Amino acid sequence: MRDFWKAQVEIERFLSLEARLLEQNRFDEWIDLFTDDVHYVMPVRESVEPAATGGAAAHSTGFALFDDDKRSLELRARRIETGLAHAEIPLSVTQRLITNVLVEDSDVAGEYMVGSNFLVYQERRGRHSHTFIGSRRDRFVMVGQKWKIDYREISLAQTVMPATISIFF
Amino acid sequence: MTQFQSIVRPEKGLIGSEVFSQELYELELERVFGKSWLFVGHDSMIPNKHDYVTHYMGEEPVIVLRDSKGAVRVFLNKCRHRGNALCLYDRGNAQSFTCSYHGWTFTDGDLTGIPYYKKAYLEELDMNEWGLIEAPRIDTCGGLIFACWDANVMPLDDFLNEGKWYLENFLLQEEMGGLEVLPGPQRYIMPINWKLLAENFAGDDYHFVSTHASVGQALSAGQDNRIAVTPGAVRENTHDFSVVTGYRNGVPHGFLELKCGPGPLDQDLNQAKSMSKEAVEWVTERHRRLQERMSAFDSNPHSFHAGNIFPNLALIGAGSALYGKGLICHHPRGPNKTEVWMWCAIEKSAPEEVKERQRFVLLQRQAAAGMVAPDDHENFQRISENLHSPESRKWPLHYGMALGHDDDDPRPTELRNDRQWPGHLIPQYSEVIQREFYRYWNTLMTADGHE
Repeated sequence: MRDFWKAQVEIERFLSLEARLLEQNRFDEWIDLFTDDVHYVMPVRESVEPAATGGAAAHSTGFALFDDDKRSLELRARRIETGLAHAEIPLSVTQRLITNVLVEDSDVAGEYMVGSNFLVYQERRGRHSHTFIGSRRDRFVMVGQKWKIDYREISLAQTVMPATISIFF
Repeated sequence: MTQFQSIVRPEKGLIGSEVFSQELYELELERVFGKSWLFVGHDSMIPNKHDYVTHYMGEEPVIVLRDSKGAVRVFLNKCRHRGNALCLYDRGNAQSFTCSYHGWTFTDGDLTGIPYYKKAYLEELDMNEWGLIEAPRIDTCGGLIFACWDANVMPLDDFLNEGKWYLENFLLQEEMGGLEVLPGPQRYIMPINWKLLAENFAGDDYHFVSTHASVGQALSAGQDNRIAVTPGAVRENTHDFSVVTGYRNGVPHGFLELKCGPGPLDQDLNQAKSMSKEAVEWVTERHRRLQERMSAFDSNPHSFHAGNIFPNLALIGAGSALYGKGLICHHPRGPNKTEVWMWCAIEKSAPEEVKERQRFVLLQRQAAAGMVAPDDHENFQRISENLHSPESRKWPLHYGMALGHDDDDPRPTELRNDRQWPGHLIPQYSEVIQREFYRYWNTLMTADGHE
């Protein structure tokens, strides 16, 4: 039980620090929070009849918004750092609220499934803003002495997104 | 002089920003979207009886249904009683649709159930008169489903004109098994008039270098080249053109980055070699069949990369065997707002690994969270900010690239003796397609004596 609460406190702190890295556009340090074999995915949301399926299905076999590994996340970061990616010129101001952090045991001892909710406010050039809202499901594993994420599934609450996405979640 | 003659002047290379006004937006919903064949889906989205998807035709919400006899039909998603939305889901399978307000029920579009028909209606309402409003014209091209609200519209084949050749040969690949559309479209807002998206996909190869420079530079700096499947790196011996169909008197569909030469195949094969023997074999066979179809041409025609079927179906990814085919519907939502619905179609006959790669490349590139579309979004946002203030809107936009050379043959001497491709061939960088787009838009807006 003591390990569990220790993990809850450490992981909450991890997620807050992660949000700060993204707010400060420190992409390499952010990517370093993931394992080398990370799977980073944001499915597409749609509602399907009959409603018995839950009405809102996320299809792993269908299309997706993100379906990335470490190499493609790094390529995305390199693109922004070229200084030629207009969607991030000037860099967006983002403010990130991370809440409802729930650490749960996984099938493997010492690894945890972690749910969190997020609200990400994105400001463009002082003229436009978008808000993305949703939840994440992360798997935390210990690599060396450090927590890392080896799986992240991001579920946006929005079906029609307010804008294209040039930021990370 | 009508207002249109003063604001739409493609022959002078000038388009007034009034074409993006609220006033004309409302007119074009009727005159453009009400009179054109519109993309409403693909056969593979509704394979079985009673399968449906909901969609939009312009701003009209519709149900695209495979009925109990197996025919595809398109209905306004609106109860005939008080107009309530009938179907609430993106897709599904339903024997009938029942309205949530008073419970009227529709089967295959027919009104088949009215609560208290005897007690409330005294059995006097003629139920045959009150079926769902149905699009009078529907037709398909290689699995792509189109519908039109105008019963007198020209046949779909005439509407697609020379564009059909490009769709059938380079996108739909029916002899290779055709396309399979993955469930779940990406949906997002673009803060711009739908026409700027249409003219971009139809005819704007010119913006790639400036708008999308970051992708190429990141690829050359990075370790991951899986999405490097547009033949920028293999320009040697490869020629690049664009084409507009219906030139001067028909419907203008545009196709960009038509390649001739060995470059595209080399690029695909290099990628496939890093995957598997099976991937190499499939890419090779796919190319062999393409060559067979193109045997009448000496110039080794390959494909197009992006395009637009008038008015609002944009296409991306047809230029590579390893790029998912994006079917992108630009639903108008106001003078400065477009709701984009983008499906990923993969090639049915491809090995599983290739299908995975097609999906991956599309979502990493020209997609909502990809490395291409967000930069377009930003430019479009900046344009929208500058369209409507009184001084700003006085000044027309420039569409005059190489004006006066629209009929020049863009082919180099060594290709001049080859057979002409269908449609009107133009240089890679050109604004002929945009000028043709507004020429035809103007024709629709002023048809039937409208001013």
